[in-house]
Amino acid sequence: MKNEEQARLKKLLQQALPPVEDSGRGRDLWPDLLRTMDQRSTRIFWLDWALAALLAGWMVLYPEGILRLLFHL
Amino acid sequence: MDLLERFARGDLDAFEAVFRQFQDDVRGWILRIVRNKSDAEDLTLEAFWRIYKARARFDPARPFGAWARRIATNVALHHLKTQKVAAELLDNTSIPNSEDPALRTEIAIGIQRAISELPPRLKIVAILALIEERPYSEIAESLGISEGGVKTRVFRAVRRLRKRLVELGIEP
Repeated sequence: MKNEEQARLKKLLQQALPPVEDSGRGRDLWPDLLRTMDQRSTRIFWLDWALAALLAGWMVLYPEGILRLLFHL
Repeated sequence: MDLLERFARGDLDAFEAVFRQFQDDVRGWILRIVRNKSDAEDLTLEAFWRIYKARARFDPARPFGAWARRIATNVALHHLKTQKVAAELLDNTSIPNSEDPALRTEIAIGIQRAISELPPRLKIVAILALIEERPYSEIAESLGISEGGVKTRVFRAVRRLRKRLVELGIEP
């Protein structure tokens, strides 16, 4: 691929999609981030409960597994 | 204990200070890749959420900006993989030089289609290297690959773009 061919292609691409204008400062996203972190933390909390429920179910079905689990813990 | 050490230990105030220092840089970087301001803001939140979750793995002796940019690039790359249409690229549409307005529009749409059809790993280097003209060293660091790897991907992207544009009747 010759440099001039790549340069021509680059020019064509930049004409169709010019570099984005970024003023460098946008709105403050911290409040949104805090909200996101709260929401995601809650979701993880429910996942913990689901995993605990699975573990409990496994122990009921396979009681001998409790001894093996305690051994490894 | 300095700010980055406190952040790595989970200090939320330290995380806020780091966030305020780097949010514009991360958002600007993501914007360059996804080319949509609304998406860039959403993805910036996602990036910092991942940064916060990974705080224990961050080495305070290393530059935070480069690490954050790496995570942000992965977030943007994931977004590109889930993008369905090139419609998002139309936000920044400019028409290539041509006398016929209809032809100019057709050329622009063709070019945007060709870019959108690139595999995400090639699309991201095409955008950063060819359109945004970022240094290869910066692209390499953000993708976690060598500069040679960036050059290879640019070469492959250019080859695919040229072939696709010819198929679409656009002479590159």
